[in-house]
Amino acid sequence: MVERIKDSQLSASINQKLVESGERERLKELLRSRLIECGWRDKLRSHCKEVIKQKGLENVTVDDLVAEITPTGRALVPDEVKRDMLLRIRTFLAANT
Amino acid sequence: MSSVLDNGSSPSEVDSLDLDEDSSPEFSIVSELIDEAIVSVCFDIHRSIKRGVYSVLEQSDEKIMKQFEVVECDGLDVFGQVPLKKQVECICPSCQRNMAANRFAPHLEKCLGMGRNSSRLASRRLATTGKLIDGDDDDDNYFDDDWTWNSDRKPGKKNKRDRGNSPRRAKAPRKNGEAGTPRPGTPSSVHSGELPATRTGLTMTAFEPLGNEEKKALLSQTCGVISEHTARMCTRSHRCPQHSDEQRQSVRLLLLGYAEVEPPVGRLRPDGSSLEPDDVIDVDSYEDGDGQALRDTLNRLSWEEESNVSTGDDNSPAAFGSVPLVKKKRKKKAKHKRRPR
Repeated sequence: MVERIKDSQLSASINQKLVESGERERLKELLRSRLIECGWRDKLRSHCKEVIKQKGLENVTVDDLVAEITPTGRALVPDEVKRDMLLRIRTFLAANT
Repeated sequence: MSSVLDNGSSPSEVDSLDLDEDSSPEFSIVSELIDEAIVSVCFDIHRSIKRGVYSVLEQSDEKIMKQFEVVECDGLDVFGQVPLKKQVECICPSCQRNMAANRFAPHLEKCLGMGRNSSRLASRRLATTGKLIDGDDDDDNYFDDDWTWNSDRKPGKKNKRDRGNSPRRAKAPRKNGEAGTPRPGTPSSVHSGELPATRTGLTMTAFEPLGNEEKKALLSQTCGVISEHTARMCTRSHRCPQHSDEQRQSVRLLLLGYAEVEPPVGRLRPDGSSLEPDDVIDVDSYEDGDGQALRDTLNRLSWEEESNVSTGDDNSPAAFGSVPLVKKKRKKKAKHKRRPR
């Protein structure tokens, strides 16, 4: 429990730092372009299409989509991209603390 | 700022990162970022659905694209349609006729009267008919006019000829007598000697100066019918489809100088070529007149051509320049005539 609270505090502080410095926006944009480059976005979209087909075009809500797609989306992200993001965050923290 | 530039950290460091440890706060931030990306995708799609763009952008991909797929079949074009070999047709603005596009330019040239021939044709057609003629080709019109020109002349001849049926019988013995020369030589030689072949009514100024032999040669090779429009002689062969045998014969009669009186006797043998049914009739009539059928028939066959000449002389002596010569010859013939009887 204590560790978790600690972790969440730590991550919150890190997040604050990232946001304040504007690094978070930069990382986000970088991730986006990376994911588009590796075809993740297209895969996700085609998956969305299947979901929409099953549910019917009129019955789709954002919540449904997010719930259906998030697991596949997470799994589809290449490890390389994940690693790269992690590394960037760490180097940022190392440089700013 | 430096962190961005630091992305090229050593590979060993990257490999050392353990992605499975969810505990690290950095990784939670990464997954947060990933989730945000996922949500943004969902938002995008949902938005396009609600705006009605989605069906166009995404679903149409499958349905409509199949509709517009490139067809790869033999005998079909890329749209899956059978290529039509329909000829493009044009409507002449002048005469409203429908014609194939490749014939349009030549037709228009004639129809609108460009060029030497067609302008004359067109203006004449306009002048004579007073309206545009549909349906017939230009050549046909040309031919028609030629035909009418000749048919104008023909009725007279025919009438003469019909009338001449009775006189012919009376004439036959005289003919026989006049043309009695057993072998007067080739017809051409006789004519060339006596007949100047100078007629007044026709515009054959180029033809007239020629010698009779030349005329003969020319007429033996070509159709020779004189066109009303060009005033020139047809240079095609004897079988030229534009002119009839009658036209050719009448022209020869005119050109060689013993023409105008020929019709009553028979419009045949202008150049002494061959015998035709009319000759037989002549023979018959002659036969009626005299008793010596066989001999006279044979005799006549030999100098049949000459009889025509002599009758021509009889009927229009003023037409020839050398009347005395003709008369001499006639006397000669008359002598010969008496002999067979």
